[in-house]
Amino acid sequence: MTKDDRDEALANLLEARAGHVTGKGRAFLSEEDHAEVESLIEVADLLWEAGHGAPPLESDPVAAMLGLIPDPRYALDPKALARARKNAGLKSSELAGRLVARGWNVQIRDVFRWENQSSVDVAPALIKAIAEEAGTSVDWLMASRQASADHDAVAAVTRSPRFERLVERWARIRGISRALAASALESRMLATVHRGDHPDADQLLQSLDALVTAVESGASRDEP
Amino acid sequence: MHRVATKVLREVGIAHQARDAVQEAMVSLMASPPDDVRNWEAVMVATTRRRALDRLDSAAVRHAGPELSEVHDRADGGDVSEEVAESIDRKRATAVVWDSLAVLDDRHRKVAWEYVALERPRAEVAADLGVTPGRVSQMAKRALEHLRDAMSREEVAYD
Repeated sequence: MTKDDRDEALANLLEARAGHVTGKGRAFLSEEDHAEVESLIEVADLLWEAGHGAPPLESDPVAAMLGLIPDPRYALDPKALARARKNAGLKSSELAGRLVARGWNVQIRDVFRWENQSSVDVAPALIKAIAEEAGTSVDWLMASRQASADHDAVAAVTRSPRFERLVERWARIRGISRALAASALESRMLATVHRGDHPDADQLLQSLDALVTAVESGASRDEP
Repeated sequence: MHRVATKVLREVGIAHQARDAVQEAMVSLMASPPDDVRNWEAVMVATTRRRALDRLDSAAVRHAGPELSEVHDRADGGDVSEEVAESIDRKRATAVVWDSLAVLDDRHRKVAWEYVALERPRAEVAADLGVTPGRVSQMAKRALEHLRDAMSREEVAYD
């Protein structure tokens, strides 16, 4: 096989995509070329997997569901954090250490920054962890900012009584405050919108209802 | 978890359903958290894989009718610890190949990322670069060779 034939065979294999290669092209390869092509296909597969990882945080509905997307409407209150930490008798380093022990990637300088500069990047789930370590409530640590929703359908949903009921159910089954529950459900809706879908208010509510019902039904099965 | 789901679903060309499979896995774990978990990563990887296989089976049933019980049996087969170990190895390897993109020049990096990783049509990438589609294939091959060599050096450094 000439160099051009070999290049052509590999081009065919790449064009067919590694996951869907049928053997066409490979049949003409020598054993040595076959090994060469296989090694390149393996790199191509790895590269493909690198390009198909988790979505960006803001468009990841699972991250939203878990309260991992910072929500500027329910941000950590810097002054409340400093008071709560001191009331609990914790140094900044101790609070950071306790959060690290829970699996959060937090450094001492992060705690300083949250108290003295900016805390808008703190996700609701992390605020919950801070509250538990400082022995206070989530609501006490959160500063509510009345930012308007940046999507009409999402804004329409959050004003609806049905959404309020879903928030109450989500707060109950997840054991979190209403504010955190509202934040998680709103973030999940925004993740859907950021994903490129254009659902209307009713579709968003149905989707949330299905999610809450699914988790609720599992939780009720576990109850004695 | 996304990579596990994507890898499974890619077999039948429905990799775009990976997010849904991951979400189903997380919902099922939240709804019925397993007891005595020693390794959550293992549980999440295994659950995600099962959800992805469920979707694979659904796609197969839709295309071929309901006579596919053997395929369903796969969902519960396999060694979980092996799956997790493989998943972690793949995760590390994809991180290495991502880092290795730095060894490529801009044009070869564009071909590697957009044509190979993101599966953008070859003709579009060729038009962007002002070259023929055949040239894009040649560049892809060259880029993959460079990446393979860079990864080999990285492995030697790890060893």
